[in-house]
Amino acid sequence: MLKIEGLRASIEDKEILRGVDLEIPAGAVHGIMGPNGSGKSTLVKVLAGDPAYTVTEGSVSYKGMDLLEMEPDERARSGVFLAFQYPMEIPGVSIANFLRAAVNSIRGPENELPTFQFYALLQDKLRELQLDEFWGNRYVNEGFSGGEKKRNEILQMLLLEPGLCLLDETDSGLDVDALKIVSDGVNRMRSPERSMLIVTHYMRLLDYIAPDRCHIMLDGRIVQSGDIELARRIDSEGYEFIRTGVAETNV
Amino acid sequence: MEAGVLAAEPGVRAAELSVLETKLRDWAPDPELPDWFNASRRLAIEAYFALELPQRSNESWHYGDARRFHAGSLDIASASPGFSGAEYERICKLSREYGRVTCLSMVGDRVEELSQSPALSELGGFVLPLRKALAQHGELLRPYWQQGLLPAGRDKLTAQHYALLDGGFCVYLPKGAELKDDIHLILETGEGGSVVSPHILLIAEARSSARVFIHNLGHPEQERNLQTSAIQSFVGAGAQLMLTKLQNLGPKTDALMIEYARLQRDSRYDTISINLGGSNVRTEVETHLAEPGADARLSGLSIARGRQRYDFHTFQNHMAPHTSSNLLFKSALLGRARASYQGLIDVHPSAQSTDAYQSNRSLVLSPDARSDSSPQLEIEANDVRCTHGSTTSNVSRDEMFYLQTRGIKPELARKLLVQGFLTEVADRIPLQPLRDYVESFILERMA
Repeated sequence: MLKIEGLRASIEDKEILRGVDLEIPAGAVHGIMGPNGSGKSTLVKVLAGDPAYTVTEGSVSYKGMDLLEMEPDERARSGVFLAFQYPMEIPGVSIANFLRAAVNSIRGPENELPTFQFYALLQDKLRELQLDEFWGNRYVNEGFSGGEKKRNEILQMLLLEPGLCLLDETDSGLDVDALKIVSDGVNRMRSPERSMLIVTHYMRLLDYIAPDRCHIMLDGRIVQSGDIELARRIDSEGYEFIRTGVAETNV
Repeated sequence: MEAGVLAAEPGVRAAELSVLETKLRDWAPDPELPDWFNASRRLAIEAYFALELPQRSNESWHYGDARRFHAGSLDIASASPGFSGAEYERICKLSREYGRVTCLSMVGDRVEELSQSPALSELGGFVLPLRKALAQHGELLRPYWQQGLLPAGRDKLTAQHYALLDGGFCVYLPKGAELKDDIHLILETGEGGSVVSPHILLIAEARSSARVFIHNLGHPEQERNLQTSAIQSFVGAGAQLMLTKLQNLGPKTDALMIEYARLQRDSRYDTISINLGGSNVRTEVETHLAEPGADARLSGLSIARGRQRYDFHTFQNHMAPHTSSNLLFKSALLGRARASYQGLIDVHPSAQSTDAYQSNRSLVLSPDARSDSSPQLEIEANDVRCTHGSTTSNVSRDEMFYLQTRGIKPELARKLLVQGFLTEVADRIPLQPLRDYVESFILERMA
C-alpha cells in the first residue's frame, strides 16, 4: 500500500528526514513515536505534500503511484489524508461549504453528492463524533479550542473516507472523553483496504487503537520497529534505551 | 496616466467650451423647482467654471487622476441603453425578494416604479424622484440640501456633480416612522460617451428607521461613460439608517461616488460600499458624528480585476463626546487591478470618550495587482480609544495547503479563501438574497 524508501527531506536547508524506510500494508495501522524534533510530523507532512519541505532523496509509492510527483490535492484525491497537528483557521469559510467542496473534489465532477445528500451525510458524521448539528455553520477552526480542532480533523476524515490516514498527534489537546470519541471514530474506519499511520507521544491513544506495529523515530530515521510492547516500554522508560541502542549499533 | 480620452484641460477659455460646457453656460432656471434650488444650481455652475481640477500634488488625489472624473468632452446622457432581458429580470427578482419600495431611475428624470409600499405613505413618509420631491416639498428639503456637500470649499468635481445633477431620489421618513419594508433604488448609466449625475437625499427624522439599498448598474457599452453620484444622509436623534450600495457599472464607466452623512444624538448609521464593476471608481464616504451617542459603521467590499482602479476615501469625524465609529474596508485584487485607501479619523477636542476603529485589508492575488493604504488619525481629545491598521497580503500558503490536502484544486481553494476573506464584510449585508447576489459575483469575478 505505502512504501517509503530512503526518504530525505529538508526545510530551509536544514535536513530533517535522513533516510526514512517504512512500509505499511493495506489494512494495517502503524504507530510512530519519537522525541520532539525527531521528524515524525515532517514525515507525514512530506507525505501529504507540504510545499514548505524539499524532498532531496528517496521514493514514496502509494498504491503503485509515485506520490512525490503529485500535487497535494492530487494526493488527497488518490486517498491520502493528513489530520493536522495544528489545523489552519480559515475565517469566513464555513465548515459545511469547505466540506462540501472537499467531498465533491474527492468524488470528482461525475459523482458529486447532491446538496441534500451531503447534508444528511454530514449530520450522520456529526452525531458519530457527538458534535452539534450547527457545527457546519461555524467558520473552519476559527476560535476553536485545541480539542475542537482535532475533532474537526476527524470529522473530515470520516467524510472523505481516505485510503491512507496520517494522524499527526491527533490525541494532543484532547481530554479523556474526546480521546475516546476520536479513537472510536478511528477504529470504525479500520478496514482491510485502509492503512493508517498514527503519530503520537502517548500510550493512551495507542491503547485505544491497538496498532499492528509501532516504529520509533530518532534524528530523522526509523531506528526501531516492533509491536505495541515497544511503545509500552517507551512509555515507561523513555527514549534513552533506544538512543543507547542506536549509539551501540553505530559503534 | 493615459492620454487620448480626455480632451478638455483645466481652465478652458470660453471659445473652447465643450458641448456639455456650452449647455451649462446656457443653463436657465427650472420654473418648476424652488428658487433656492435654482440659485444653488447657478452657484454650482459658476464654481465649476471657476475651479481648477485637483492635481496629483493634492494629497487626496495622490493615487487617482481627477481628469478621469471630469465630464469634459462627454455629453449629458439622453438615452438609456436599456437593460438586457436577463439583467433586468435579475434586478426585478431581487426586488421581489427584498424590496417592497422599488424605483428604477432611468437616465435623467425618467423613473420607473417597480413596486410601492403602502406602509411608507401610511407613516407619512415618501420615496420620490428627486425632481418631484424638490418641486413638491421644497421647503422641507431646503435645510438638508444646504448642508454638507455644497461645492463652495470643495472641488471642481463636486461642483460638476451639482451643476450636472439630473435625477436621483429623495427618501423622507418623518419622526418615529419605523419602515419595515426595504427601499430599493436603482441607478442606471446613460449611452456610451455620456455622463449621468444622480443625487440621493436620505432624511431619517428622529427615532425613525429604514433600510435602503442602492444599486448602481451599468451596461457593457463600448465607449467611455461617466457617473458622478452623491448621497446625502441625515440621521436624526435616535434614528437608524442602514444603507447598502452596490456598484456594478459597465467596464468602461468611470464613477465618482460621494457620500456624506450627518448623525445626531444616539443615532446609528450603517453604510456598506460594495464595488464590483466600473473602470476608475472613486468612493468617498464621510460620516460626521455631530452629537453624543452617535454611532457609525462603515464597510467596504470590493473585488477588482483587469485594469480596474478603485480609490477609497473615508472620513470618520468625531465632533461630540461618546461617539463611536467602526470602519472595515476589504478589497481583493486580481490581474492588474489597483486599489488605494486613504482614511482619516478626526477626534475633536470636545469629543471625549470617542471609540473609533479603522481597518483596511487587501488581498493581492496577482503579481501585477497593487494596493496602497494610508490610514490616518488626528486626535485632539485625551480620553479616547482609537485603533487603526492596514494589511496587504496574498492568500496564505499554509491555508492553500490545508485546503489542497482535502482534495480541493488550487483554483477552487483560492476562490474559497477569497470568498472567506470577503465574508467578514459580506456578512454585514442585511439580506440573504443580496448576499447571494454579491457572492455569486465574487465567484464570477474569480473565474
